[in-house]
Amino acid sequence: MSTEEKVFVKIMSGMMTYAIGQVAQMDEDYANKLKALDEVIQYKIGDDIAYYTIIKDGKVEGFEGTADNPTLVNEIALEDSVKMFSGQADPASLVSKMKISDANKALELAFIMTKVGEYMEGMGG
Amino acid sequence: MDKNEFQVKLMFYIMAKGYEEIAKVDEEFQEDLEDIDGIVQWNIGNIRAYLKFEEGKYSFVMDEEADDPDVTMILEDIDFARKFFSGEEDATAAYMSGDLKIEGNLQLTMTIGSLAEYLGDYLKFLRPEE
Repeated sequence: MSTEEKVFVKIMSGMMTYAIGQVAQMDEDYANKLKALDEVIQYKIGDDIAYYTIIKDGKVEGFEGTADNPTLVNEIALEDSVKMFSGQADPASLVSKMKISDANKALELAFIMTKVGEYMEGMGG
Repeated sequence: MDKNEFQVKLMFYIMAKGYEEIAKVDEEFQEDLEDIDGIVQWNIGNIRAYLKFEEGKYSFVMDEEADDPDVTMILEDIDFARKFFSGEEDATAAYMSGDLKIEGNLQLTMTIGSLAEYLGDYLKFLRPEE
């Protein structure tokens, strides 16, 4: 996979983490749901990219690397993440290709990105 | 903040974060950074953020105003800003029309404008049809 693809995925994953906190500022119901969470969500993308998101006390922070005690681990191939972030593939269609450490937890937390997706609708033009 | 402003803010974030990630891997970009020194404040509707270039290093801060920016880029109209960051509007034309106002060191903005060309290589996946 190319350097361009890896950089693209890092940019977009950083943006998504930032977007969670921004949506919480606009959507009180969403913010309240986040406040109830104490999660460390690890993402592993291809062989080289790892980052995690800590959601605690209503705050959302993103970090590069591997978390010590993630509550959920999502693994996805780099090419699939490029398709997801570029809008070429619906994230739901990629779930079957992802490795998810805890399917129930993933379902419980699915609202986080679903709501961000709603606010991002139409962003591409 | 409404949905429109939120989306423009994310578009700006992609640019700002893009420079940060490109700087980690692209030697030519790193060389260009060596020649840039200054703080660029962006005022986009109600959005505030700034880019900091210092001794070959780059960083950015969202949701804050710099104390003493070298230049301030102002896009008052959020709908125009959307076109600007999506590449529909050219920076030079925007400046000439007054939609983009620049206060401060104009030379610095021109230098930084050259960095934007790198973004195309790394964000081309957002426009796969091109």
